[in-house]
Amino acid sequence: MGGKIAYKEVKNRYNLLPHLRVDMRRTCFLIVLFAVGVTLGYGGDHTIGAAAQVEYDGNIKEIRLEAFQFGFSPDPVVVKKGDVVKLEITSRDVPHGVYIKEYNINVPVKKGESVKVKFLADKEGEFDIRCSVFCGSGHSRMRGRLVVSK
Amino acid sequence: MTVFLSDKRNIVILLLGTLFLIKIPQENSRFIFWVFGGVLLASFYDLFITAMLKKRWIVPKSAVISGFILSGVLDYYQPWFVLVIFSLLPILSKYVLVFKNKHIFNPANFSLAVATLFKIPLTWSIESNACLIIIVGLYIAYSLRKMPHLIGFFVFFIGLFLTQTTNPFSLVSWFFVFIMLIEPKTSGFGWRRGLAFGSVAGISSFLIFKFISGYDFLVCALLVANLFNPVLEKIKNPAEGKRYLPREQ
Repeated sequence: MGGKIAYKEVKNRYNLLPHLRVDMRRTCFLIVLFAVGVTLGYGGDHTIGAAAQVEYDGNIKEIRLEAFQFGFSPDPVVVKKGDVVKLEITSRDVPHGVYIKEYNINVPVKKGESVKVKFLADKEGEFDIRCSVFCGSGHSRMRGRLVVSK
Repeated sequence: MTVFLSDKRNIVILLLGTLFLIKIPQENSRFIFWVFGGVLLASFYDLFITAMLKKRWIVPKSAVISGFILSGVLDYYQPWFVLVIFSLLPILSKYVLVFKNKHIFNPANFSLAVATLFKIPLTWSIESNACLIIIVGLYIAYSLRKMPHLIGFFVFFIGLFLTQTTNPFSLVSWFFVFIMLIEPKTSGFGWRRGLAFGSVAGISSFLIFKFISGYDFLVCALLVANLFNPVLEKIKNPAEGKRYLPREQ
């Protein structure tokens, strides 16, 4: 009798959520998938891209980039190929994110803060500057341009 | 046609397909392949898993919806393997994280929440026409008896953001509200549960926006509201099981 009670107590101790069924094997599989994602670089800091490892041979260009609902100022941001670009990013209203895929830049910025990003403009062309933090109903249309000319 | 439209999932698929088509002229060809890829991958995973677990083939309508949402919201410039992994997560979450034989998390939202926690940008590209979303969304919410969820969400969302002198209507995502928040299986049924669920989502969205910026506050808020599901299950609705079935057409 006493043995049965003891068994029940132990069972209840480890079964705090009796209705929650979590298959451990599948959960482990899920965790492995996340780990693969992290290993491949998606948990890391994306603020500065390949620029840090490249020798600079152009001018240093400092630009204050302001994000607002739903755009960027100045737009377009124009630099020359080879320039070292120092962006000082601020937000006018709500939190935003400045995301330039081709330069591996993805930084969040809050209102009242300023975030500095430095990169070497080593790829010529026109690139989208997009918002990576949801900022409202026009978020999907919020775009600016980075123009890297010769 | 009536039979086709009586399944609300068909209406949601039509809505998502239309939003996708409207957005195509503003985006590039990668967006088309990305969304198609997401839908096909999620459908394939779901077909495969149901065939393995239940030994039968079921048309994966929910997976199509998850695929549309996931690939339409996730940044489509990400490498393809991101799509391969993140379109698997909704399907896995549906079968793995289960409470009383129902999945806890909105599948697509779960995957998007993981993406935002890993700092993968969510660009919400598929949110192309707010008017269409609101009109069809209101119909879906009314048909599925999800109006309490909307009321609970908006009361707190609007109220709390107004205290910060932020215009709540410039911050809200209609796509999130009318397609993701009112997902039938993970948002609970009935007035009381609906109000509670919507309120939790509204309050969480404000708190995340205010204190943990840098993450997608709506996606994270829905994840938090989903986490409350086991607690919300304990709220009793009057005449449970009868009054809160989806409306008949």
